[in-house]
Amino acid sequence: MASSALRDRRILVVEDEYLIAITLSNQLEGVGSIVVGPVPSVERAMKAIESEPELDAAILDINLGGVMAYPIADALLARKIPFVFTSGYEDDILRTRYPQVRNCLKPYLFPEMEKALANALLG
Amino acid sequence: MTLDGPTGIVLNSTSVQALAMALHELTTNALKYGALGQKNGRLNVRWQVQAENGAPWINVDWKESGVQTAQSNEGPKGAGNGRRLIEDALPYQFGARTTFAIEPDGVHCMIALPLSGPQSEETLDGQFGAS
Repeated sequence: MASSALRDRRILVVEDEYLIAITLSNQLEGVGSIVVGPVPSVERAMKAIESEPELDAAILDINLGGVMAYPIADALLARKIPFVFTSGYEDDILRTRYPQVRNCLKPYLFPEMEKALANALLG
Repeated sequence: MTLDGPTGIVLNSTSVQALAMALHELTTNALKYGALGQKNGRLNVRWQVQAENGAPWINVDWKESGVQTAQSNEGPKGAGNGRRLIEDALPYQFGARTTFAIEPDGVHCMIALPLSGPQSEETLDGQFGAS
């Protein structure tokens, strides 16, 4: 099996749905990533971004229990940490506000997410 | 079986989902291995609503007694998913505080759940959408 571009990368997972968060984290660990989190809220994601000196990338669910994840996206951009959004719907606000960030639409298969994140890491 | 708590508590869509899943798992577990499946088993469920930092929380105390339990606190075989839901998923997704223990005479589970969801609906700021 080819080595994943995500291998040994420290990846923050922000996802409010427990089952998705756990599944995604397991899949990332399966390709050799080091998962930071998962965290379910803006507050906990901001703490993780502040307290983790080394983050290589992030996966960001857009709607966290009714709260939009924009502050997290802004903090990641400010730290130049590559990331992808993941959302259950097409989002004009995201396209306008973060045109450079890929939105990996749910439902996705893990290889799609892996590819999207690998591309984000390439810059 | 005794049920002891106020009626007319309004649950929003978030807290009703969390509580329904937890009660379903506890009930299933009690039917298979616990108080609802054994002749001498008893179940006492108490609940109350309390304010915590100005926000309403529901506290549910699920106490089984008179039950012949398996030896370890690992949970009977098959109860793993329900236990994981209560111990991991409810805190993660719904901001709940939970304990789940298999005591010598049956399961004792406590669930404290914010009735306004893990984050205040008031912070929606006009945004909406499914995630």
